[in-house]
Amino acid sequence: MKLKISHFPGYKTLWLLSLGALVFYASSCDPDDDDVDDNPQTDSFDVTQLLAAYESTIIQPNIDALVAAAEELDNSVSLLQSNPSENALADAQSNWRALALAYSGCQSFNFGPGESTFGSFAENIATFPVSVEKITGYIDAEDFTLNNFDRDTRGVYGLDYLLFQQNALSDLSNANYAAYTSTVASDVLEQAQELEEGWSSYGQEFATDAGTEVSSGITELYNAWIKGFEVVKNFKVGIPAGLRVGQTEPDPTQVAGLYSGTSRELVRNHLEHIEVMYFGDLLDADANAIGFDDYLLTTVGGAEVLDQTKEQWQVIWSAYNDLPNQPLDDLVVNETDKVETLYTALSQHTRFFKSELSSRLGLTITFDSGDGD
Amino acid sequence: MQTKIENILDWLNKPIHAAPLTMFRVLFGLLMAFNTVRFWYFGWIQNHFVDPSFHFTYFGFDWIKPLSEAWMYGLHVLAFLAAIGIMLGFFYRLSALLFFLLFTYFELIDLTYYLNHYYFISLVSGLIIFMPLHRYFSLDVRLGRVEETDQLPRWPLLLVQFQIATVYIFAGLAKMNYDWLFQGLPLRIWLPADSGLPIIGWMFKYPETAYLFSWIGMLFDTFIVFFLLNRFTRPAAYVVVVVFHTITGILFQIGVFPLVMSLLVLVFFSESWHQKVLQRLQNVVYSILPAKQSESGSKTIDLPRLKKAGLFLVATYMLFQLTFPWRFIAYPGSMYWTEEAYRFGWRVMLVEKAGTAQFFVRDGEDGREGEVYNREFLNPHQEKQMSFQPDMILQFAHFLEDHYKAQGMKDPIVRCEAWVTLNGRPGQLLFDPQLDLTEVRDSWAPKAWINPQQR
Repeated sequence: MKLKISHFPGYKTLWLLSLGALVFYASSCDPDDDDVDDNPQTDSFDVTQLLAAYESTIIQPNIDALVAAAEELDNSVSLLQSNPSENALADAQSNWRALALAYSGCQSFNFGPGESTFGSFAENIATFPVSVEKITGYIDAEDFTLNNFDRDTRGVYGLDYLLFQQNALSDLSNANYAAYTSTVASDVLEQAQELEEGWSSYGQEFATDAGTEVSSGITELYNAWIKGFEVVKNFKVGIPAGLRVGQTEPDPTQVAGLYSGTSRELVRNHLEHIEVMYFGDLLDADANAIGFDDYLLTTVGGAEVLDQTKEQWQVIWSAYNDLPNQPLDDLVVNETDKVETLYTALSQHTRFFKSELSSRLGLTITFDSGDGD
Repeated sequence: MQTKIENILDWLNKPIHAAPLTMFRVLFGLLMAFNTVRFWYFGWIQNHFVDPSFHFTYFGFDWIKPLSEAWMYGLHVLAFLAAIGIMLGFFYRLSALLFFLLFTYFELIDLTYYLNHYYFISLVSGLIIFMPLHRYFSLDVRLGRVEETDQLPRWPLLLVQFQIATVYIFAGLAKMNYDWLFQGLPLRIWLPADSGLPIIGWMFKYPETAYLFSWIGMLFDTFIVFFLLNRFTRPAAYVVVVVFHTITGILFQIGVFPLVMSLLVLVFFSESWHQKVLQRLQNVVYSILPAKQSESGSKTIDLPRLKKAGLFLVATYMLFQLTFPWRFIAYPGSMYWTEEAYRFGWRVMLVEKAGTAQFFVRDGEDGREGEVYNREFLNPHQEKQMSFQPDMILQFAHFLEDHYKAQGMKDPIVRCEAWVTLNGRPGQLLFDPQLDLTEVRDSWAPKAWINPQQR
């Protein structure tokens, strides 16, 4: 005899009981949601348009500007090396400021060609604070190879020390000091050129990748951008202000641009970059500039998040503009409350980046994620 | 009563051909071997078990810790060999036991990586330890370790089918909620992100597609098992299974789940179908390794019967599986918001949820407060999962309390500002950001400290 479920003793009673239970289960779920979505999705959005716009109007031009600034600086450092003088130093310092500004526009490009086995572009070119002790050690040892992982001895902020420290001009008369400075300037140029070269081939791939998986263009960009925001919030403002748990007081030596006195300006430049990467332009100054904001508007609940995000940007800029025009290393000591207000504003902004935006765009925020279900 | 139980036992012990369960054993072992290699290949042994300095633990299982790097890699080699052992039926019981223990150990190390299909794998690998799936077409038979039989009792097949049915039906029932059916959420968020996919991507930009997929998903999960059980609808149902899982596999990052389910549901196919497929497989194998005399024909022996004690255990297990997902009824509020009773309930790809959890630690002595940089202790995946799950937030807060105490801070006060967004709703504070989490203890009791969901 062929066995059937109906041969199971008492199967009818069991069947009815199961059916009743399942109906009860289903009706128990989430009975009182009635206003989930006041902001229904209104339009579709072509992600590749966003990526192509970012690639052609932000990423490529900013990297080109960085390379141009690095070339200028490298040239001026070479001149400084051959003929140290106040004018030559002033020229190099001016070019460093241009370089630092140009780098601010590339803070979020630590993916694709900006990521290598030996670290991200930012790690290789812009680690701060620098270690004066290590720099001095390499100079004294006449080791100009940079064949080490001491990234706090080089890059943009290494040059900040080498060109702006109190005795820079006299030290530059020292052949070893000048040679080390020249090596660091050339290395910055080389790193920038490598990034430029990498993007010349990766750009097309990036701009046409419409996926949203972890390795897709938009997810890579998004994750690098979030990290960029956390760098300015935590490392450029939070730690110098002594607001990390365990710190007992402000630590002005932790600012970026300590020696050039540009720390406050660098925070502004970095924030402007984050803002540009959100709106495609500064707070959407150019209504035609395509950005994450346009994408957000096409998603469920996106308009409300966008309004809140814009409001919070205003709070951030208001807090920033309230800071006296002094380097941040002075402000964290003398204007503690105002710096803390800026930090709090940045902190409150985090959720708009990390969860509200990614959740609505369907982006994966992790880098090493496993599966989901 | 006595007769009724005897009748049930007779019915469960009725012999069936060994082919369906043998095929199940081979496929399950193969899939698990593949899964273990894949896990290693993606670097997840390192990322999940070796690198993190902190692990979120399951309630009551905080004694489970990862071993050293060499051990973790070594145990995965062992898990791979155990999976191969299951597939080949080689030291089968030992292999199944080993795989169950190792896989479950891996999963219990860190709550971050909880997945419904990992839970399913743990359950199945635990069940098959007690099933005589190595009595046919196995190395144990070939090596004379066990006697061959082409007839197995019916209860193992029913139990495996029950387990698979549980996954689908509960997943379907979980989709019967307002967001899923009447708001098209979260698919209305997820699908447009895939509108760049070739061929099918164009349709995902329309909200109507999300509604359609939501209803199809609910109907599929709830009813597919019944269509697989019916021999007339079975072939078409299986095509639907493959199409459904292929599409979800393309759209979402759900790893081996589609492959596992697509292959394991073959256990619903008839004995004769399995006999034919197995015969072909045997022909291939025996062309390489000629069959022994004992393997070439059919042979039936009497295997130990399921007795009352066994029936009691099986019934208890089934009752647990049928009731445990219901425990959410005991908790107030929406489980999608509070996460209470959410796990182990087959709520598969059900909500879009994200959060930002910022922790602040205040020195109880000098009152100075600082923010914790979560990445100092957590990897991005851990941080992401923690940020919207209250029990994980609580665990991390207690870890921070211990950490900063060890650093010399007296009576640290840990608070957290956790903003969570659920299915596109505006972000909302998960609980009072002034709450000192060091004073809160986790338990099975409802977490009264969680704010009610506002919208």
